[in-house]
Amino acid sequence: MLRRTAQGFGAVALAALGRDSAYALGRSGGLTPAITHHRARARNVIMLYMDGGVSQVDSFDPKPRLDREHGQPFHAKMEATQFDNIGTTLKSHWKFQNYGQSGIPVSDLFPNIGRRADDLCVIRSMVADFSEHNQANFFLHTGFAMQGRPSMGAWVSYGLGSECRDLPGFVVLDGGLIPSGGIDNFGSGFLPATHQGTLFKSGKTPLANVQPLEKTAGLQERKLALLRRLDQGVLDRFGHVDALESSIANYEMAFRMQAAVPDLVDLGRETEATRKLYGFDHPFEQTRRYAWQCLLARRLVEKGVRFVELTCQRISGNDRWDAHGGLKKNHGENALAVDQPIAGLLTDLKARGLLDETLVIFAGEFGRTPFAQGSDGRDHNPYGFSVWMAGGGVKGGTVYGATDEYGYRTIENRVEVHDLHATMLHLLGMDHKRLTYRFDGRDMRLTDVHGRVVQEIVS
Amino acid sequence: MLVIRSAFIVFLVCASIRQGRALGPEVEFFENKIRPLLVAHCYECHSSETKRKGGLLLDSRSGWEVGGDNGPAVVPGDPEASLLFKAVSYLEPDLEMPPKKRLDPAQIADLRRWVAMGAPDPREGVVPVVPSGSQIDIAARKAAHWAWQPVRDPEIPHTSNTRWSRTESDRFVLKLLEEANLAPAESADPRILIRRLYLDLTGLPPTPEEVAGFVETFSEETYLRTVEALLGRPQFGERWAQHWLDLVRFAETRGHEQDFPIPEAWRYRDYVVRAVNADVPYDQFVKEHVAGDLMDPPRLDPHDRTNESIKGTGFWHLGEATHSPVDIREDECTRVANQIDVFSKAFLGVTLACARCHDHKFDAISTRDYYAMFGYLQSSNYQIADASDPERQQAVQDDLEMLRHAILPDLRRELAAAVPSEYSAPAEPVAVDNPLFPMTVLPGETDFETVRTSIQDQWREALHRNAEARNAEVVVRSIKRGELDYVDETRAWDPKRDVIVDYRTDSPDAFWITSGRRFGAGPAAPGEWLLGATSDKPIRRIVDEPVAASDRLSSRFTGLLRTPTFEVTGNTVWMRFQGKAKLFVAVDSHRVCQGPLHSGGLRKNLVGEGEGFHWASHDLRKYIGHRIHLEFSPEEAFVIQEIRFSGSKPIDPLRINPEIEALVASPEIRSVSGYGRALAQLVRRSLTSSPGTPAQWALADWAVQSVRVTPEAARVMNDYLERKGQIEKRLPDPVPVLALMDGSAENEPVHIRGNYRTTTQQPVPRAFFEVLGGNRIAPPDSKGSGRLSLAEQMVDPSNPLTARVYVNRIWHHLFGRGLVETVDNFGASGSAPSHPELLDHLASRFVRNGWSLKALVRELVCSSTYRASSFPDPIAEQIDPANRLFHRMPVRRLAAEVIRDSMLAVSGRLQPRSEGPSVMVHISEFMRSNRSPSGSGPLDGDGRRSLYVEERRNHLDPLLAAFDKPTPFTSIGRRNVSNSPAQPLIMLNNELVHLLARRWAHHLVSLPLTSDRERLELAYLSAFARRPEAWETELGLGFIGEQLAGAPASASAREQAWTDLAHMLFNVKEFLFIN
Repeated sequence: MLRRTAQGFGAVALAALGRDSAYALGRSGGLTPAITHHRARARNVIMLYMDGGVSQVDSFDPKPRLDREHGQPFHAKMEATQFDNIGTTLKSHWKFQNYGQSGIPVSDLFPNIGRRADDLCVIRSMVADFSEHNQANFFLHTGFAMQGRPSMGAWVSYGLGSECRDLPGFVVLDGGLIPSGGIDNFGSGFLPATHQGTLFKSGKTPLANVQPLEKTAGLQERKLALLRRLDQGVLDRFGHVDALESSIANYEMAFRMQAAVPDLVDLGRETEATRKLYGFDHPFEQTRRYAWQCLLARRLVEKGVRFVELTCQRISGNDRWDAHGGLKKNHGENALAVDQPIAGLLTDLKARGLLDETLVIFAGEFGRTPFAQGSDGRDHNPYGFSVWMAGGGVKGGTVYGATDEYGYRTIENRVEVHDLHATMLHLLGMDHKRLTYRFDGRDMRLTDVHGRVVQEIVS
Repeated sequence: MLVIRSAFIVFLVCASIRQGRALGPEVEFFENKIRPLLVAHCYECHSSETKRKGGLLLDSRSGWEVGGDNGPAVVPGDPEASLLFKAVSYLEPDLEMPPKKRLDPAQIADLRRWVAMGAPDPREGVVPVVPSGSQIDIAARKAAHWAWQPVRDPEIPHTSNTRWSRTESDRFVLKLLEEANLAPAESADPRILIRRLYLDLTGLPPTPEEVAGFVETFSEETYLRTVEALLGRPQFGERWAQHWLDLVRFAETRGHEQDFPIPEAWRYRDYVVRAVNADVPYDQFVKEHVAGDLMDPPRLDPHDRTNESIKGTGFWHLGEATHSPVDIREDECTRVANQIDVFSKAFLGVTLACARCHDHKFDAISTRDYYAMFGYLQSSNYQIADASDPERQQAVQDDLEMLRHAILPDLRRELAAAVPSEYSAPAEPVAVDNPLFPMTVLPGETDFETVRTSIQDQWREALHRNAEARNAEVVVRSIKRGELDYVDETRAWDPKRDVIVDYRTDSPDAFWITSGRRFGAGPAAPGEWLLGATSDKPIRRIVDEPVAASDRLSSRFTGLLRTPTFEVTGNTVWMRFQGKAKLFVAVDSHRVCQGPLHSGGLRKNLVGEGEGFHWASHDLRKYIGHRIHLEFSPEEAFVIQEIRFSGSKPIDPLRINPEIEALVASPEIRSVSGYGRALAQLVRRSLTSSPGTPAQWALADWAVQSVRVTPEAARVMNDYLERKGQIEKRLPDPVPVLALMDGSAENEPVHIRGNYRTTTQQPVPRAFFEVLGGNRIAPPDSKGSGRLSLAEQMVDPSNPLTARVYVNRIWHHLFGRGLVETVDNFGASGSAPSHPELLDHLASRFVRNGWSLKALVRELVCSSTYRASSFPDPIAEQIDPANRLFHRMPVRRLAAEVIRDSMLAVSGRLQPRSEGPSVMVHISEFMRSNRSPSGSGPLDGDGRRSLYVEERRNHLDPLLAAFDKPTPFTSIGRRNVSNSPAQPLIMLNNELVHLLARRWAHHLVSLPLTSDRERLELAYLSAFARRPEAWETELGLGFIGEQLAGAPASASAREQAWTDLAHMLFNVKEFLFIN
């Protein structure tokens, strides 16, 4: 039973914060840690966040009817759109092919991901409640449409702790595009700050304040040696109170992080073949950059970081995946940037036996309309869109749910954002109804009072 | 009398006729086709065995008869009208059932057939009807929970130890300690006390001189004197304002995608600082937050004489906001939920926001309470108000009024003198209602007898045509069926429904809503002369029928005019006006109109130059069904008379001036030139007679538009304008502040399960919490929001929450933990008070002392409890490990701001300037992203205290955030005290910390001291308010020596060594904690 104290489940993690390190939960590191609610199918999550919203009808949800009715007024009943500039029915620019034994259709935007089709579980029936980026982003990340709630990565870190003594439990690999709503999408809300997403950027110093400013390592060590002795004096002077002792211990953790992070981002030891697999030699610059993010994600997962989220690359002339106009260039270039690196990540994880215990999620905050915005764009569409998951206990090679003949609305096996969260937590060994934190007089949850585990896609 | 509502649950009794009916073919159809379908596809969510989603049960006949939130589910015989059929047909996006998968077409057809045959259904069973209103027993919950009980002033307890206690509060603490067989801790060392006092009261460490002064003369008197001095420092307000700002989720931008600024937010922050420093009684402070805009007279800032009270209402607007919500009403509901959440937690320690969707799970709070509060906000709106000296404005207004009054007779006389002795026939044709019209009817004809009948015939004819045209007016309303699919509904224009405001006929009591002085205190009354701004056009208009008019005394006054709130029932609104103004359409309180969706639809520039009224239209089709109001901010002199819905430009009523009518009918007029003379006479009389008649005012108004201004009239006008200019110079410059404005009375119905699309029939009258007697007060039909009476109830001493919650917050800030640990939640799910009697003692004493924060803080920091040592005693720790009894002071980590401010202070970088606009937050290269603003604030914030560093929602200061400065999204009375590696990483490797360490070192090495030993001593005094012990001196000096060893001695090497030492002193836990 998890609820050991009035503080709920969190007390377990909090108690651990008191001593030694903010992260270690004193577990052996088995796949099913002692404190999960049930057997875990995954121990880590890699969230491939597709900022701005990928068009489902151009990627994973083919709709021949759009070809037939291309250019005609849209025949189905429409909802209000964000930009209120509705054009005619718009067919996809991309052809679909069936891939793998499962024969899952994937458009020519993602030929490499297509070749991993048998690992994918494509959910075509996602719905989000919001047509606007920031609300939808907060909703996807925190289960609420407003700022200030804990991000799913923070919940996972809080729920499972970290298996890593020198890295945080929730890392965001910043590709250059911070989502609408800002870094609060990765915040810890009312959970302890320990669980907030730590932002890693590409480059020599990926993490804020991790690079010592001292001229030599020796100098910092001498300074820290002084500090240790002075701090011992404080314990004598103030008494051995928990808050002080854990604060002192925390410095040791920080010191280890300083050393671990440069080591982590040193990709020199990766083989040429691995680097190629991810696309380090790709002619498109953003592909090479996203390859760096994907490879780093694997290394973080290997280190035991619980939740790794990747944000998108900035590509000149495109505003995220948010193709209100110029769909062809926008989606073409964005897909080019992520297709090979993601496929490489899936291949690499599988080859290393990590895919079984790593849940990979590919999702934007909503999809796009099957009718045009203006002439060559698509507006936001939260009423039905596609996401996919791979590894970590989901059924590969499956398609779940359906939208109508236009790919506009979900008509079958509706999956809400809370359901996605519930399923993710379930795969991690946690019951979304029991992963709670006491705040405001309530036991708060990632799924609030909602959420259904989509058992049908659990392998 | 409180109603025990559970007793009112009504049971619907099935008619017995249905029982025992023979199993006919219709019922057979039900049994074969419908029942299995319902069981398989609907019972999962709609049966008494499982759930009752949307309030609907489908496992009995009465279930669908009673229906759910949307009403009965089946209309027997009419499938199209049946919600059940609509739902399974997926005809409405919000109502698609079953939600996961549509039924087969054959099943849908079966259901249709079943409903069409009259919905035969043999299933029995009764369904409880849920009455609208709360289902919880408020009285029982009230009786069961301590926080709702009145505050009592308990007797001061007797304790066996009679020496330890200094204050009455000490005796309450001691009493419980004695009961637990615990002795209170010894008093702390003076060096500890002075640091504790300074950091707690001012958020800054004492200087070495202050430490010396305190320690050397340490006595009870020194202590009390120091407390008094600290309470009087401006830094006290700066530190304690921050505690308050946490409660109102203070920020200066709106977050979300674009992080737009919240205008004038910093002025609210400064208002809090000043209020704390001025020790504004807390009841006054609360009232100012809730209804500061309505307080008369307001509290004025003693320095700049601005209206302080209204500034308090700014807190309502400090939340997040998006710029382009697709569902603008839902967006409003989310914003209001946040406002209610902050309001109820900050002032009352109650989580009212829980009751948005359902009655509170634990507390004596129902959804009705929530929506009763919602109404107050719907009856109020956002404004940027002018807080400049209201007394001076009033004096200027009085003087202008007198001046205007004084000049009018002269002006009347001179204008009358300027009227020609005889009007001549106009060269161009004029309208029938023009007084010159009778002279144009038969050109060349001079005999008036000949034209008289013709004039009257033409008038009659014109009046008839006008009436016919007016009767043909329609209103068009589009009904949206799909995004591009509208059906226009046209109906005859109806003055009762379609006139929004007509200042001619409507009672100002109901329709007059302004802020500021620009529109005066009411509509301009008939007979009023609206003066112009130049001598060549001395008269703007002579009012013949009431109008709302700006700039009646001066264009320098500020303010706006708004309509009451109304529902959009037509596609187009038309406004009859003159002059220039900005129109803002306030839909669902949405203000951040920057996005693609609403920026065009909610703003318009009204431009109506020249004489007479203009009609302008505005398309509101997008907002049909919403409740909105219109705001008019004059750009120059502006007059508005009528606002109405109409399908086309409204036709003004044709009126023939009765004076002209009489003149034409008069047999004394025999020639056209005779008419011209008589008309001139009439006009002169109209200009000079006071007060006059409506017909005379209309005629005078006509005349002044064309009169040639004589030099005498111009002189009178110039003299007026000059004197007016002199008086206007005394007007203070506008001081824009974020504020609430009172609108028209609006009540909100309960949103069932928090969904605004399904509401109860009856709105909930605005009222304070029912559990606190609120339902008996604040009549719903009163003009305006009624916030003032709400505020008064909140601070009424009979309210058990306001004072208790506040004193508990103060206790929390000084002792590290509240007497009620959950400081923002006094509800049943919060924690119970550790010292209930002490809490009540403090609360009642607080009220007795005039709600004085400073008196309370003084009382608490002078107590022996506060002065106790924090050093843990092994035995006491065993008995009271969580220190719930306050047997010692806790060791507390400094708040984020205090850490940064202490580094600034110790290093000598602190810039002591108070108040004023914020310093932009420093945006490091690491923080910079595609979402960042251009530019960056200085790394050290110009040395300003953290309070003055811009609170930009999407770029919170990383140092402050790492040390748990909360994300501004709700009331946070108790911050997290986390222990994350970001903290040491920042303290070790952040540029700012290094910069300040270097600055400190530079200061230390440049002092004319004789030895490094003295330098170290000074450093310790600055940082820790004590001298180093011998081993620390040895260690510190050893470190310096080690750093310098082997290198050539230079000034820069010395400074570097001291920088390294100073840097570590910032990191020593003694710097980061208070003991």
